[in-house]
Amino acid sequence: MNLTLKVWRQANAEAKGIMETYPIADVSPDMSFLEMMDVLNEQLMGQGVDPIAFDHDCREGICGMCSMFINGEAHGPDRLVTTCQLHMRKFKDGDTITIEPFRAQAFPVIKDLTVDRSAFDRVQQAGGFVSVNTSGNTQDANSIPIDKHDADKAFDAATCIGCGACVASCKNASAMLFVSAKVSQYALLPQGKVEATDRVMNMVKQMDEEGFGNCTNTGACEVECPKGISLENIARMNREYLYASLKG
Amino acid sequence: MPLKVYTLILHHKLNSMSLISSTIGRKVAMALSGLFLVIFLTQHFTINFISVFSEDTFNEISHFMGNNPLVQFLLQPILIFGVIFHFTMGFVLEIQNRKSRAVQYKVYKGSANAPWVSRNMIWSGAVVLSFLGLHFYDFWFPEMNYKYVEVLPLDPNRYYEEMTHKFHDFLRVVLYVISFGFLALHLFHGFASSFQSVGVNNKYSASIKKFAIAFSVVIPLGFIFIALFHHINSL
Amino acid sequence: MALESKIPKGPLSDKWTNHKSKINLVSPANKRAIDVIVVGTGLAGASASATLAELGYNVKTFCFQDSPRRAHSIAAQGGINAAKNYQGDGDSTYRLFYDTIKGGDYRSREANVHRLAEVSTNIIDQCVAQGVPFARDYGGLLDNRSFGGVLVSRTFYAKGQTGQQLLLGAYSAMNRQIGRGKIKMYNRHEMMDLVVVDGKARGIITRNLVDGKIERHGAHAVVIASGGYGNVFFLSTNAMGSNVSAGWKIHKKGAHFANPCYTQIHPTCIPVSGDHQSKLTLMSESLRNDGRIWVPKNIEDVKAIREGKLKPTEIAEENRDYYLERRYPAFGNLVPRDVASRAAKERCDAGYGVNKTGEAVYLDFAAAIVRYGSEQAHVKGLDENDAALVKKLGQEVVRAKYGNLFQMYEKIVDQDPYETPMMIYPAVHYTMGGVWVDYNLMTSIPGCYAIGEANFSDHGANRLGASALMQGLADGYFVLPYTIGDYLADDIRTGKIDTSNPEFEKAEAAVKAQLESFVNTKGKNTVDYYHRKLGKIMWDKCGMSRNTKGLKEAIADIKALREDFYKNVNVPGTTSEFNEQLAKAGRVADFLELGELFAKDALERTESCGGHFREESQTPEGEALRNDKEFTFVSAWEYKGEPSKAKLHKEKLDYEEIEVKTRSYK
Repeated sequence: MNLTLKVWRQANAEAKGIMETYPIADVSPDMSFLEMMDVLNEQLMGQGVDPIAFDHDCREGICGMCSMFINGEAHGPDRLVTTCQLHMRKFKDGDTITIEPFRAQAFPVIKDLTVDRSAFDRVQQAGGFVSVNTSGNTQDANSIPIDKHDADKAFDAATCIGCGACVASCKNASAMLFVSAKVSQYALLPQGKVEATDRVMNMVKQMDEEGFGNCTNTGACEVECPKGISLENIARMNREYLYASLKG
Repeated sequence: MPLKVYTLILHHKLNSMSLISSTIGRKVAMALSGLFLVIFLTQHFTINFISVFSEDTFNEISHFMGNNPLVQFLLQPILIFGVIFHFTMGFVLEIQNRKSRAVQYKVYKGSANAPWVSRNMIWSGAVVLSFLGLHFYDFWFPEMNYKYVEVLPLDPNRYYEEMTHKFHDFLRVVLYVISFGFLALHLFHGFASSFQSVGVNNKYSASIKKFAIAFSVVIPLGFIFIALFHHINSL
Repeated sequence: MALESKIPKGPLSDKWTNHKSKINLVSPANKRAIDVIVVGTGLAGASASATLAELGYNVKTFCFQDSPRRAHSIAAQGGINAAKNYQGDGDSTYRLFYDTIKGGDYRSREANVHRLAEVSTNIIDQCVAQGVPFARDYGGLLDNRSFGGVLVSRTFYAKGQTGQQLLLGAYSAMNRQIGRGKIKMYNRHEMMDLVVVDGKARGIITRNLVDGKIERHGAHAVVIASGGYGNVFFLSTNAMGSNVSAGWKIHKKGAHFANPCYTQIHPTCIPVSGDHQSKLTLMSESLRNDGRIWVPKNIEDVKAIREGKLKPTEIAEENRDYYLERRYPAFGNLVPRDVASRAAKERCDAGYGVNKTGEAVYLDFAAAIVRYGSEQAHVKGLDENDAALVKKLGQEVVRAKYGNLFQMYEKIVDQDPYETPMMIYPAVHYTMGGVWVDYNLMTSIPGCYAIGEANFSDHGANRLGASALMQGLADGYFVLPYTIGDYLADDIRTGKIDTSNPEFEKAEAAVKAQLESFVNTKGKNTVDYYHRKLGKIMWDKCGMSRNTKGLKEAIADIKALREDFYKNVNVPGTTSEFNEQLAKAGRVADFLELGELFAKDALERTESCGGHFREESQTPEGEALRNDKEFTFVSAWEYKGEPSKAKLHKEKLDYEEIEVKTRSYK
């Protein structure tokens, strides 16, 4: 199939960006979106045009590195997939596809479609861990049985891949879904409960300092999340936070 | 857990800094002030609805509400504070939220992942706020003027008359109807959402949501009905 | 330089304990004055960084991705082995050790493998304490599943994303130390070269991938944890950015490279769909717990399927060839990876491949769905003979176990694996070979260490499923942090490493010169053009089966391709900006050298063992035939100016505890 791509081009963080239009021909429906971008880049290099910079790595939907905003949605129109797992069969011959970087004050553009998501790292450095030394001198793994339902919920929260689609999709560029997934994973496990108070206070503080917006419960994040992280986690974080701030 | 949280609210002094300055704190404050306004709306609706059945009972209750010192000097200021807080915070948050994405998307398909009402609370809220202006102009300012500026004599039977008089004007009724339409939209998202904000998302949430949606439709429709009822009666 | 493996004396099961008690330590006060560089943030790199920082060293950690959490360990699906024996099915440290040695086709170092088996149980304890959400049963205890090549259930898992959960655990431990200021993290930084001063590793040269700045970083020890080199095949299950460069740079500075030809071809990957393909996707080996692998018995059925006239579900049971169950009745569908891969290739080469390209076999869950469904119906007291109900219940169980894998398959192939069998084909997945290290995980350059997949140490000629995660974390959490002290104990008086030293200057100048030469070549072919060509040579001639003729051709072809690359590559842009093509050019340049050494190593080893199958060395039934008399050694290659001149050193493998036998899964 033949497509028209409108792509955000921005030379670096300081430069002003613009949308450029590129036609692309003979796209196979079996290609992934990123393979289509590879083909486009080969084509651009052949024409002496600087190839489009975009983040990607594992290309199997788990590393969370790919990050495009395609036709007005994070990771494109398909649900529960990252851009690397979005296939061209979701588009029709003759379509125009708009491709932009994930946009948020907290995610500055590095180049073209590549953005800096290190704010997520810093939020986790503020408390997204259990303070246990890696000496191996811990108790036996089976010494604390964990209710399967809690363990499963903790796992569901832990499936977050930190791609930032929640922030990109949210009309307020809020990072609540991401942060709440991290808070929830630990809040649900006995190992994490010990420092639950400090964790949620510190992580939310850091989240706010990074310049993410407020949550207005539109639910866009949950819909666009490639891992289907539930809004339940945000409610849990709200509870944890309330409890922690009142506990002082 | 929520129960525990709310007992704590009673027993501990608010850690006001983080509760009001953090994103989550503000969200909770919005939700709690919103829920408070929902309660107020319910009682307001109940009293107004009585006017449809009984002029006397309506006058009686209105007189009580207008002259009981507890209502006038405790509940009324709280209510006014609640209203001002809710919309001021709403605007503050909106400005902040816009700042958190300075460069806008060229194409942003909000409808793909979130309902219109949830994305446009600022607009439905703004309409409701303008309506509140009209409402104050119609009832509250004259009321304050009557009671505290000109200090006119008490008249326990004037309320029904004053109200039906206002609904005589067709244009005003139209404005009322439109405003309550927007109030319905505002409640449609806001009511259920405030439970999520204060941390309630469990097996009861589906029922809460159903109730909230029913509420957001029934109450504004009821207000519209009352306005039309008195309008038609006054013709 | 002679190979000194430094294996401690004494009985096998006491070696590690005794060694730990006797090696030198660095006092807490002195650790504060010592800097360690870690390159890579996968399981090995992240766990090592965290632990070294906890011990008190100043750690600088580098990764080329935008966050340490993206390292490709994250993609491991199935699980992690540990000899916990929670299932009471007869597992023990010895059995894990034995299985790993046997699985590696008797080409791994006995002492290292035993140590791995010993610390395996600590890993699980550690990860649970960190909040890793492993799968649990209804009693709240940890659940296990079974993997290829073993007869017990010792694999711990977190649905289909064990790698992500373990990596997030290690990453969280790192985050804690970054927050404390003990680790300085450098994202989007690529290691360009190792700096050796007076024979010791003293730092690295890096390139900031965002602005292109070349930086010098000094340290008292350098740890390479940069993963495997499967991307030399272009198409592999590795991430797009996975590369050999860090390992190759240290090889060129004096570290021996061991067993480069030992590559694991994973049997259950999604088949190639076309020329546009950029990478291959793995379907976890755990699927072989419940999936049955087959091709049609009759060639007519194969033809009808390829023409779209017949559906696999329409082929009757008696017309299916469950070739693994037929050939290997004892292990069936759970034979080790190398065996399963070769068997698939054998069927496809014979013309029984079931997709258009003829390179796919079926992985079928219909039987498992019925089995689980009846079980559920029985448990719930429902009608076990109601086929629709049983199917529905069975699908629910399968969804709970493998849901995300099935979803991934469906997205990629556009077929519903709950209704029709999956198509799979082998793909390059893991490289057992890597930088040669001694028992302390130190390379042949003093002060330079290699851990995780980047080293060669534990898997011999073939790795068992769920052992890569185990090795990465064992090296990083429990081995390196002890052994590195033995070396650093002599470095407490060295003081800060001076990066204005001429060796740093020289290394930096060389890096800059290479980068400039890339952007100034202005040739006609893109970097990917060369990478694809290299991959094709590797797959065709150094892939699942190898022969003298092919390997000799590969050596010549790669050499010619490399020369062409330097003359005709086109790298757009400049060196001082975010330039993905430039970064890729550097990586492909190293692959073009490694590929040749790979072929040379494969040519040298005329026996078949594990993932290395030489057509000249097989039994009449087509099984791999080892030659223990001549090849019970590790091939460690020393760099001598170019790959073809590399010098072979042999580290003889002695087996004290294990009787070396023919590996049979029949």
